[in-house]
Amino acid sequence: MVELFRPIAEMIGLAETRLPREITRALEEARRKERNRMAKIQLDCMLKNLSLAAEKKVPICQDTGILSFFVRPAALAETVADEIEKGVELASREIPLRPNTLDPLTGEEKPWFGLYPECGGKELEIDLLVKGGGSENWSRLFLLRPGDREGIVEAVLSTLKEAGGKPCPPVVVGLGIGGTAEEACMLSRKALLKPLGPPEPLEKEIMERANRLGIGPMGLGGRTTVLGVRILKAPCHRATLPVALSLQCWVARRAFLRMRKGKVRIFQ
Amino acid sequence: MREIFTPVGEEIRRLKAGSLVSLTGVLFTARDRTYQRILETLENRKKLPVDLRGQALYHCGPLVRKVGGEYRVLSCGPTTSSRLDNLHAELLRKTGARLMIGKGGIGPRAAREVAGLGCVYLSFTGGAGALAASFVKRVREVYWEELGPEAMWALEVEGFGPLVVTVDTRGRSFPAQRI
Repeated sequence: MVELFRPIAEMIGLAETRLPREITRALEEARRKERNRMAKIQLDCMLKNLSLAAEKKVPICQDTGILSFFVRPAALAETVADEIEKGVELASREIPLRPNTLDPLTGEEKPWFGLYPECGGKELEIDLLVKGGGSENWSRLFLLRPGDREGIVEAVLSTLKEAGGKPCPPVVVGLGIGGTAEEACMLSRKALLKPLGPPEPLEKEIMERANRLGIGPMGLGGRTTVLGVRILKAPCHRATLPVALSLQCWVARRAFLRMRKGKVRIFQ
Repeated sequence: MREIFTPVGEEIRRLKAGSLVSLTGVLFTARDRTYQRILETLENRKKLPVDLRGQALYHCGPLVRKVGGEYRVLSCGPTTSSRLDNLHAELLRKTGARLMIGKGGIGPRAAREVAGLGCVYLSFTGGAGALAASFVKRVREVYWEELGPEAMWALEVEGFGPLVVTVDTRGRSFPAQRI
């Protein structure tokens, strides 16, 4: 295996200081469509912040989040783990990253990142999801009645209403539908790695109904509450309908690393 | 946009929920552990390292870097204020601070208490850490440095805003509280 910790640190740096182009475009489009004065002001601040962060090469948000790495093929995860650890250490010093992780009971500062081996892929692929604490507090798991499509929409809408401005809207909604409880949770995270694009019917319906709630950017009112909805699904037991919800703040950070014929490519 | 200067006095009673202001002066960052430290210090009948009367508390854990012995703030957006809803009133009452800045709003009960103390709660755009840092002229001081991002950082700022008046001294909220 080639030395990977530098490209991994570079991938983290990219995710922390720049947003994927389609997310920035979605924010710009939201700004054009907004009629609410306060919403326009908030979106202007967000867009200005993005240019400043890119120009100065500093993290977009001081909450540099928790890093989750999805690694394919699973067989390489063991070998790559050390490189990821070194890459995170390097990025923590160089970018830098804010020390965010603590022992959950003693409160003692302890470095941590998520590492999830996945099936599939021939050459190495790493997906990085960066998520802050504000949006993470609104992750939810629902066990609905089988076939309850309206229940899925309601689950999202009620969570958004309760959350208001706290997850830093406009958010990207990641939904994992089906599988088991734990599979649904993982799917909702991976859904956040899917670039925004033409929505599926259920994605479109949730987005339209969410944007009629009036929560708006930072919960200060407006029509932009959700930037996009992404769904991943898996078959589930005939007696259950697991639905996991992950909200990603407007600083929807991600980056990808791909190895092709021994060459590393990093992109968003 | 009205400009306010810290430390503030009774003039903040003129601020109305829903209006925009910018702030020039000093921000004292305070989040979970800072709140705890401040209250513990006062409970032990010890003096705070700095007089907070009329000052602005900023719900923020900044991202800082030490360059040649001096701290530089790289990113310093607000954190969720409502996590500390059960402590705002006690903290403001005991320290005499008059402004709080954060994001995501505070609950109706905390809003009533804050207003009752003649204090104002302002919001800055969450996630806008690089933008917030652009208003910081320098780090004046850091208290309880061992708390890292949760230490109390005294940040000198110029024209920090736009800040949205979210709870004013008459108890009005923006947007009007949905209960």
